[in-house]
Amino acid sequence: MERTDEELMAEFQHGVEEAFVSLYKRYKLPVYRFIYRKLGNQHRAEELTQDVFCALIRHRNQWRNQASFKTYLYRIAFNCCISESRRTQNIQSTQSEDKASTTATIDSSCPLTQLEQKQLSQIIQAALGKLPSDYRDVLILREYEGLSYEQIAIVLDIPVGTVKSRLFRSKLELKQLLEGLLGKTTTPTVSQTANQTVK
Amino acid sequence: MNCNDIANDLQAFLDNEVRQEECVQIESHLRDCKDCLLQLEDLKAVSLLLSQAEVPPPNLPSAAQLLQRSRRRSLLDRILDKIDNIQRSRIKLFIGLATATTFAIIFLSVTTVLYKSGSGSGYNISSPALDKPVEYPATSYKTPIPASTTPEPSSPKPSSEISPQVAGSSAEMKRDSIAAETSTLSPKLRPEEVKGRLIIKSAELTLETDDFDASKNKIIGIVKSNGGFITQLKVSSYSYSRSAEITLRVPANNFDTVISEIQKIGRSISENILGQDVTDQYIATREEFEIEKDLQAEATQMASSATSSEERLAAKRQVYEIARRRAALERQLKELIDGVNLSTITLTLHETDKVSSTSLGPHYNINSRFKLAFSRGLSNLIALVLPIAIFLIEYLPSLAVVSAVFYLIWRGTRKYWKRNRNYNFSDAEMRDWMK
Repeated sequence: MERTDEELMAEFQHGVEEAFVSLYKRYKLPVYRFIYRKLGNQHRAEELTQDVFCALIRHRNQWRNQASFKTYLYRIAFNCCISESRRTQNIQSTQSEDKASTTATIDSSCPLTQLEQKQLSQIIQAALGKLPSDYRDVLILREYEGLSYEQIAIVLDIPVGTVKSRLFRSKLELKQLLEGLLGKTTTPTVSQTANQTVK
Repeated sequence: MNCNDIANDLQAFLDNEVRQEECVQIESHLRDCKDCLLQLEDLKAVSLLLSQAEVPPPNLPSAAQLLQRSRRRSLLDRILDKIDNIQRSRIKLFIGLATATTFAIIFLSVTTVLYKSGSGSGYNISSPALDKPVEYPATSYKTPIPASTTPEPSSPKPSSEISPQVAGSSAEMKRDSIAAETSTLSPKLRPEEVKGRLIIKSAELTLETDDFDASKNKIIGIVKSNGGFITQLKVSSYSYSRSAEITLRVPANNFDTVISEIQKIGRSISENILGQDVTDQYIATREEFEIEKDLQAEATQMASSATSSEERLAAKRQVYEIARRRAALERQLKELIDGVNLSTITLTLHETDKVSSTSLGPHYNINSRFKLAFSRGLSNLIALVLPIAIFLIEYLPSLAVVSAVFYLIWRGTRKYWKRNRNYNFSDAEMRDWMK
């Protein structure tokens, strides 16, 4: 029988390193995805993912068994992102760098489907980057990480009603940003809409 | 339920985060409202679009590597903490020295203030055993001796036998020879003028009393009723008792009566009664006075019979010189007679100290002991707080300046310490370093 996150964390608190290995395997990709979608930078997302788990190791004794491990971990990730944003203050410039690299990738000789898929991901990532950070956090946690409204409220330290309204508004804004892609979701002609959506 | 009501709940409805009854209401609304249905479809489409976004695969270290890094980090943290502690201990040493210096300055200042306040008039916080009497100038006064009360001695008649011997000789030589003669002859020549002996009586008494004020008033009453007067009354207040030094003069006839009455007032601690026989001194002075009188008459006569102005001037000078000596002798005689007629009693009156006496003697009173102990505690408290308050008022500006200087030094040290503390790496720096 698979052990729960909380059981593993409790074992890790008692010095069982294998428990941490299991937790790391379970959560390294979700945490990485969350950070990547929040910051839009792969390299920094990888670094911050390591930082999140290092912080988890360092402050493992601060976790209380009453709280959900998942929300605790996402809370650490969220705080790391905030600290990183404050420290660097250049998220926008990094995103523009990525966009430049995207152009370079398009020019390379990749298969068409792979190219379009990658471009679609970048467009969506760029649209996410254009959202206000409050909306973006809620949207990522719900749409990609599958957290419940209550868990999102705990991670972001906001009321559940706020989560509900922010999610709805973020969807509306995203709908406007991705207007060209909607209705062509299965086979979008990215080359036609890219210039429209990402500016 | 209208469109506006369910607008916010549409996404929650899509995520299945609404209550059952709300769900039913939204479903029924969606059956009737095409706009809301379209909006729901849009929300679904956005979700579908978002789900197609992929994330590039990460290049993350293994869990074992992370644990290893974390161990290194904690080791480094401990080393840095130790370095910090060394720095902190230095700063603490500095602060400790600065604090000790400040307290030493404050202590010295307080001591100086206390010393000044103790030596001056006002409060006194020294221990009761070392207490010195506090003088209250308002209660000590001196009664001057009225000149009119000094009785004149019966002036003896001038000797008729001496005057002729003085006449016809120079003033200096004659006076010496007459003085030598009369000093041996005078007791025989004037036995009738000095009847009995001339005695100057004086006494020094020390009494202790429980009721200080009443005893003092009684003494004053005794003195007045016996025709005497007080020349000095000095009250000294100790911490827990008082004492009075009273100097009084009484007629010699009532001397013994006054002594005996005063001794009844309190417990006699010591008494010293003196009788100084001044008969011989009086007679000698008196005779000298008479001789000077004769000499003065002779000099006056010479001045009137002088022919030249120089002689007249010399004779007049002689007359003035003799007059001055006569006045001095007269004063001596008056003092002697005054001393004989009015006896001096020096009385020291102590109040019983009920607090300091711990032995259960006859005057020990537990109630008064408690009352006095309370007042003692209160006065000690005031004596402790008052100098501190005065010190603060007097030295507050100086303290503020000293504090400001220490604060600036402290800030400068901290800034210097922080500036040199460049080993406070961020997580990212640590990560690069550990790769």
